[in-house]
Amino acid sequence: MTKPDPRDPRETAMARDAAAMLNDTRFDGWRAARRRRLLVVAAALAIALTVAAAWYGNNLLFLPALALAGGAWWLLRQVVRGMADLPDEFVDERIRSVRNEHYLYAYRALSGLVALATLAMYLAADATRVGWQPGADQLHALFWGVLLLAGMLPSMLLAWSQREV
Amino acid sequence: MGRLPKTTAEQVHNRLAVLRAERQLSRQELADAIGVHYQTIGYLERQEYSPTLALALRIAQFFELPVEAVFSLQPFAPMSESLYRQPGDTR
Repeated sequence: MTKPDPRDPRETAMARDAAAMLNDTRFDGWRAARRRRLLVVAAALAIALTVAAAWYGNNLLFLPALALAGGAWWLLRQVVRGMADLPDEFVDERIRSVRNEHYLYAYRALSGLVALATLAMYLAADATRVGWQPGADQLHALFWGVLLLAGMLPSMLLAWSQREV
Repeated sequence: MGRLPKTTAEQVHNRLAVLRAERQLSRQELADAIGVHYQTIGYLERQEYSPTLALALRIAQFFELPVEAVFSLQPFAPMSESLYRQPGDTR
């Protein structure tokens, strides 16, 4: 962790916020391994619900599901102390190393999921086989699925795998 | 040469827990002194994280010891064994 330049008030404020997040104790109740894993499962279910609501064009369910996923995202970020998001200069070498490792896993998982989803849509859209065409709702679902997973996967993997956060 | 399992290949042993207890420092105090998060001290003490050379040197400098007195690729002998070894004992 590098010391902030005291002449730069913005950098000092950022360092203060980062230190507050890294040393936060308000969410310690959520940091036990079992509760962290439950939170990851809840986040995955919230993402699945959001995608399903978008896919079937259910606007009544979509916004509450999206709010739920957003809430899970926020809580996950607090529970892992922002390890997935804080700028490099405000975290130490171990956190940077763990973060890089988990971003790699998240990238692989996301690439695999997107490839599978697009392949499934491509196959289903082939008129000679099923005769189904993806519409605006399905693209909407794909968009939200990718966005939520891209943002949440690193924190989800960190929350799942770390011995201590 | 065969590829060693990751855990064996990258294992660096250290005397951090002993040194910290000897100097009566909390994890937070040591972490603040060397510029890392307090949990990183726990990961180092449990040997679940191997530090970079720069961090190892910073830690050794903080304890005013040569780096090889704090870190080693071989497990350290217990302190009692080092202190009370009899002359002529080749263990």
